[in-house]
Amino acid sequence: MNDSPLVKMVADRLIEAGYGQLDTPFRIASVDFNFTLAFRGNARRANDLVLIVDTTTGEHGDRDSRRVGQRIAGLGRALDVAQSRLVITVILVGAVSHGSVEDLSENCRVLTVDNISTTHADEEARQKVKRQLDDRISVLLPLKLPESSVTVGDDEHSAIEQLRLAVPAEMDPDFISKVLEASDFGKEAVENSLIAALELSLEKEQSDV
Amino acid sequence: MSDLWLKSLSVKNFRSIKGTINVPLDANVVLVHGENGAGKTSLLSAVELALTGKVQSLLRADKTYSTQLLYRGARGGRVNVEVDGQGERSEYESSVNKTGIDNRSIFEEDLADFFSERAFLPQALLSQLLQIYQDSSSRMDSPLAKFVGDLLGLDRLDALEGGLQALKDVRNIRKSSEKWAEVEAEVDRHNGNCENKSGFRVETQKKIDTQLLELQERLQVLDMDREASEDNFLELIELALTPTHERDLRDTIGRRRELSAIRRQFEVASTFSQADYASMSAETSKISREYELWKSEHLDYIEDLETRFLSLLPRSSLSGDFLEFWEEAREHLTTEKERIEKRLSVARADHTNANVDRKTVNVSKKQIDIIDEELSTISSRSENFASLLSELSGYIDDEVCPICDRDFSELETGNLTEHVHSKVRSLSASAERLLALGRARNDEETRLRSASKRMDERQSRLLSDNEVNSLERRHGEIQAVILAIIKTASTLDRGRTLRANEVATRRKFNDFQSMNSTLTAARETLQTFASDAGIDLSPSKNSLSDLASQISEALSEREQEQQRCASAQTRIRELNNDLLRLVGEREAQDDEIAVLKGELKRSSNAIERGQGLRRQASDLRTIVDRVRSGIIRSEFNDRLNHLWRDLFVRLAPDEPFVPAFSVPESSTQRIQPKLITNFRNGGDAGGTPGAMLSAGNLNTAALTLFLALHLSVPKKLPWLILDDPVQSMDDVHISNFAALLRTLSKEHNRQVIIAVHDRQLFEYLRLELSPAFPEDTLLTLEMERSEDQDTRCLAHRISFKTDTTFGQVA
Repeated sequence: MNDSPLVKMVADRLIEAGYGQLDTPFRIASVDFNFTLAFRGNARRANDLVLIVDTTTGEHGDRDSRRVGQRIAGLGRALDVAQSRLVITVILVGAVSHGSVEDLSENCRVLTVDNISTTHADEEARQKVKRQLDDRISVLLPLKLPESSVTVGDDEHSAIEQLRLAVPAEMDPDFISKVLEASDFGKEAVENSLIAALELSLEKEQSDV
Repeated sequence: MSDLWLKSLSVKNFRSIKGTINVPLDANVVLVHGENGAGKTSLLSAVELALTGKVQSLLRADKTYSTQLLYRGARGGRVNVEVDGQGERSEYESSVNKTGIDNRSIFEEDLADFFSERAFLPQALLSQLLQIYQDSSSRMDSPLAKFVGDLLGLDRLDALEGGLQALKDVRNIRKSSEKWAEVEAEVDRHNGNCENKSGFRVETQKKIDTQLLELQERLQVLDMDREASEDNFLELIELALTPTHERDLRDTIGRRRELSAIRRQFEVASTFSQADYASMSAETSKISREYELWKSEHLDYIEDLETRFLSLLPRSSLSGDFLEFWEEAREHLTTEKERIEKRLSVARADHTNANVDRKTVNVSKKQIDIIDEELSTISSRSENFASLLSELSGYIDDEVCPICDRDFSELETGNLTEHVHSKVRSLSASAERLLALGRARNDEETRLRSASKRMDERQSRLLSDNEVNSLERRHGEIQAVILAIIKTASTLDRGRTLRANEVATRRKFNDFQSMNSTLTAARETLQTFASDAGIDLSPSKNSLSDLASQISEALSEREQEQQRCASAQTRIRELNNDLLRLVGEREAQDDEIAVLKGELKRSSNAIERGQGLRRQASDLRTIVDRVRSGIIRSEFNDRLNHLWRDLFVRLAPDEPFVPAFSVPESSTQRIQPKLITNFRNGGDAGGTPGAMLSAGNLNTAALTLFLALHLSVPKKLPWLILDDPVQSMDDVHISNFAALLRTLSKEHNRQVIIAVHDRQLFEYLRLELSPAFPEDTLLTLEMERSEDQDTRCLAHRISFKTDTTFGQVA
């Protein structure tokens, strides 16, 4: 187990995202592979094998990019032999040279996590750090579609309800509700309802005299 | 809407695909591989054509593309896509030929649009996508506007905005609502009418004021110094009309007329003098004396003469009295005398002629008696008998009588013929005598008749002896009177002249006297007038004419004064009527104005309510705009930008800049977001992606924008069809992209079809996109084409296989 707070942060994030931690070292096609941490995706990400390499303080030759490359290549070959469809993603935690990433990329997906502060004074800073981390490994994280500010139908988030709420109380509620109702049937209907309301308002009243 | 799933594709002679290929598509991921020109792009555009009826990317480049879709040299082509929607299969198909496309069955427009805009990313579009969005205008059909249009619920806001817009311009309202136009026109009309009527009222009031002012002036004429107002004018007028100036005026005028008559009399009187009066008086009495003298001498005789005349002829035969017309009397008498003479001479002649005729009658009667006696002796038939005998003598040939057949010779008195002839001769002589006698008798009878007739005529006028005597006596009397008249002719003449003089002089004198008495009366009248007019009569030496002119002057003054007052009163009477009429008029106008103002108020209130509603509509429009802008801003800021950033960072984790849309804060009619870049860790960088990103990341930005747009709008079609989107990506990007595709496919249930030309990439993606769970499938399509051979497409389906490398993950 690695003590690097950054590695821990990444691991926590992956677990939070539904990845299951694998025991290390693990054996594939009769070959033992040791990594700082290994995770496997759950359910629809079941084909994801995520390996964490601590390039700063890691063991198992993590700090040597050449050895990391060899290890990953070996793992790839072993998976091929095992006819596995697992897809390897390596997260390099810590500083890393561009060249080594390029080299690694030939055999697997490479993500890098560095330059992220692990201490955070307050919640805002914590969120910022979390976002920075998420940005680095986002491809492994579930894609969250932000909710629309409007919804279909007539619930309180629908555009028309938002409009209804925005209408000040002093406006004629009857008129507003008719026009808003008409909007469901298109522009012409709105026009017609307006004209109808207008004509109604033009009806002369006894009190006018 | 239930998720649709692409099932299969069939393509024949379409673009670079020769012959027919039937391709399955029913997998979560379809990976298409083929060398350049093998027909990958054709395959994907075949899907587009079959579903939407067009090829958007080709259309963008060349409007006439539809004639170039058929495989070169082929006779006919066809594209067909089978789609599964919860077990329900639909087929979409179009055929292509040299002239163009024939759409058999395609998506409805919104689905087709979604497919073209949000589901299918042709290779050509990728490089243009950012530019397209950068250049996007605010036009309704611009890509940004389309995206905004796709956003949830905005259609109702758009409908509201569009509908409310119509009310903005009052001309549109007039067009749409006859009633509005009507009421508006009513307001104008009532306004105009009100102004008109008020104008009339002002005029009426002006007239009333003028009349009141005039009334005041007229009242001053009548010495009434009062201010006239509408409240008191009736009372004032009644007061003003009480004095009888008009009657006084009439009196004065009458008096003046009288005065001028008197003055005329004075003028006439001035031609007479007292001296004339005296001489006239003397002459009158002288002529009277003369006449009286003549009368005492001759009147008895003249009267006697007149009596005698009247005993002979009636008074009526005279034109006047005897003295005047004594010549005429004499003429009449002479005429009468001549008439009597004539009558007497006729009477005498008649007497003589009567004796002659009586003798003639006696003679004629005797003659007739003699003739009648002779006639009685002569047979009246002798002539006829003579002619008979003479005729008969023709039948006597011998001595035998043709009548009795006796022989005349027996008598021996001669020959028979001789006998008959002698007999005829004697008979003829008798006849001639008869004729002569007849003629004589006629003559005598004529003479007798005419004499008798004359006697009868004369008998009627024959005067008796008494009558003749009386006539002769009358003749004598007339003769005597005529003579007497002739003898007294000069006397008569003189008498007549005297009498005429006397009558003439007396008449003149009488005239003078009556003139005097008239003058006296006039003088009295004048005095009355003078005292009436207040003229001092004490200086009695004033002549009458002076007095008259003084009175005339006074009367004239008085008349003028009365005239003034009377005409003032007349005018006041008129003013009274005018004022009453005008006040009535004004009241009627007030009533009318009140009615019109009521109408105007009703119409104005109605319009005001309408305007209020319009203001509300306008307010509502502002609110709609605000809400809409708010939603759009939030959609762009909180959703699209967020998602885009997420996607972009997934592919390019090392890029410090991220692309984004910048939405202006101002709430304008149509907000128009702009493309910018931000620092990934916060803060605006400002520049456009084109300026800030590397070429590779620009491509990534475009690709992720497409995906973000696809994910931001409601999922009409869960398809992502990408044509070789990774051409200029490095390995890091590619592997990240593969992970993203997997995420989209496996976690967001998108059916992904992706075409790649790179073999190594294909192999890598085949591994990366392998099925990860039991329902997950991967299809690989490998396209091959060699010259002169039909295109081939090898489909390979890869199913889920449990990976046992690590066993089950906890």
